[in-house]
Amino acid sequence: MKKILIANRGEIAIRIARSVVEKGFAPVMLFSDADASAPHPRMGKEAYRLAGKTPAETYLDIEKILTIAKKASVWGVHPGYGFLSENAEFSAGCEKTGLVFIGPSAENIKSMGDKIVARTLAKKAGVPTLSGSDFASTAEEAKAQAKHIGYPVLLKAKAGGGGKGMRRVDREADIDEAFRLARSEAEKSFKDGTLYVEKYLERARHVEVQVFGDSHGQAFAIADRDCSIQRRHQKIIEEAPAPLLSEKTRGAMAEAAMNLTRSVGYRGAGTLEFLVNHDESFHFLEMNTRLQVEHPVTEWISGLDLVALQIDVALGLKISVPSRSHGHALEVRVYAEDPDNQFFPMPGKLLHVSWPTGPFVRVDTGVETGSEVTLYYDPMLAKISVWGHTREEAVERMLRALKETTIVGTKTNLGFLFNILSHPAFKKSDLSTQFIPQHGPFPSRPLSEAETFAALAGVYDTQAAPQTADRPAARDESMSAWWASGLARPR
Amino acid sequence: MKLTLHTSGKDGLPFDFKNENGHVTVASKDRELSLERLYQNEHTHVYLLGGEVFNVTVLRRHGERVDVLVNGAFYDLHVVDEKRKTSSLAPLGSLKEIKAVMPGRVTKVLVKPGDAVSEGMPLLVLEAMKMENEIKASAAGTVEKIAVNPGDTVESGHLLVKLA
Repeated sequence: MKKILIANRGEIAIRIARSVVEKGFAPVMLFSDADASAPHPRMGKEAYRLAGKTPAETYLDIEKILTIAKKASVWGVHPGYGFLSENAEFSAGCEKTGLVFIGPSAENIKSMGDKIVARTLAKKAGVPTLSGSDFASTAEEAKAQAKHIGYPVLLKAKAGGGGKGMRRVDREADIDEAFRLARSEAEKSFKDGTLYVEKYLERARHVEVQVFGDSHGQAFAIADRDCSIQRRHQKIIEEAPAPLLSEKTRGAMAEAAMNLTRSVGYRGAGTLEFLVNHDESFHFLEMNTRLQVEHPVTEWISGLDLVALQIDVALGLKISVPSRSHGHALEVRVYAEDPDNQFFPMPGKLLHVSWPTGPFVRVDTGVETGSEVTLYYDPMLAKISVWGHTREEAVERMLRALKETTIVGTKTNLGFLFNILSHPAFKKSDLSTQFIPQHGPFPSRPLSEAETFAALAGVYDTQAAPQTADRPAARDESMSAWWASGLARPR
Repeated sequence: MKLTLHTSGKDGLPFDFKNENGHVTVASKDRELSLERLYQNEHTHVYLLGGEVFNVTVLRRHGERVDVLVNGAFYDLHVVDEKRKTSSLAPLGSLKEIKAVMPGRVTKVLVKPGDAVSEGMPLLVLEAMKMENEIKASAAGTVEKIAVNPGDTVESGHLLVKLA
């Protein structure tokens, strides 16, 4: 049986392994020392240890990973998202070693990974872009360019992604500080601190188009997604298709996306990110040359398994894609973080985890009861996605699913997500990247009298009832000791 | 047992609890409700009251704050256990001592000793998980001491800034 090495961890490694098995391949997993007892290695036919804990010495170590790939004689390598997924050197390294890289060519990764080159390619393919600079090597240069473009602007990393190395600047006085922070984040995340300046669109929506290309010169656009609900420039709620978009705009975006995909001879799964203004004018932001975190919403409405499709493309097959989508899908990203305090990551041990089930609910997760959320990796615990015939149905289904979800032990954004989804502006699809600052904070509805009594009964039963009389002290210790010991909150 | 529920802007409301054969009776000054225990495990308690189901999960306790999910909605309640206040419950750390809640590296100190700060003012920048996080003042005061220097790596619980 041919093997596919999955060069990733957590929920995405598990999600990929599932399709790998269904396509008749054997999944080969990798795990760092910090992930030895995590669920993902268990999903493999084989699993190999990457000594170390930090990303740099494990899931980012090209040499270590290629050595394992050779030793295990795998046919192909799937990089997932993040880590090495958009690393041209890794893609080239795989091909050089005689392995199939399940993703685009090194050349595609390289040109799209350079956000400035990507913008030039987009312009050439007739895709509308935002006004912006080439790059700014000093805060002074950024200042001059920002003045020319007009505030507010966004400082962005040339090698950017995942919201890292990105800062909004509203006035000249703030640019020095923002430049310094963005550059140091970019250097740390991408080993490249080059920044550029781009016009910041107030209250625009983030809409993206899923594309696919194959080695027969075909290019497809598979529906769009709205990912406007963001914090720290990272998406937390995504949906497909993008609501309240005229068919004309939707068609024009798909057309533009296909043109760019075709013009660069793109192979595999990719995503074109756009900002869409009130007047529905749209502007290309960047192209992600990998599977997106939020790909499940596209799978729900298209009926396609995007990972299976990636494998088909890697096999050199000619693919076909349905032209119609069906219904509406929503996804939320569940994080171990504190929404009341700048979304600060909240590591800790998960004492109890239970996920929703039922009709049209999907959970992609890489954690379970007893898992430790560490500081080494992204604190995303799961993606919950749902499907409905209509957006209203999907929203109600997601609220139901969130009610069924329990995560005990560390603070999560579950309540925050629930309250956003219950907000009238969200229900009306009044979406923009400024949704959270604009409509927040999102307090829970007030407790009724009976709920108050029940909540207190719960507190009483947890700490004082005879059947749990010896529990409280022990629980406090296990429950993230650093928090329970009464440390002041950093606010 | 007595628990006092504090809601901002109001006096604390004391509640009494009685535990009797499958029921828990909760009484405030002018109301008493007896909730039937329908189900419970270590974290979740399900009660029945007049045919209505109440699903309560205690997610986390930290000092006098309790995070609970009540029928899916999240609440951060301020509950004081009058009796245990002086015994086993750890007192909430002083608001004047700002400590690291997670390991990280101090990248920038934004204040100096003697500076007057208001609640919520940024004091320093702590880098953790590749993110730069502003650590803010938990109360108004004067900076008495800065316990770290830029570049320092700190463990959780490490004192960062002391306010007077």
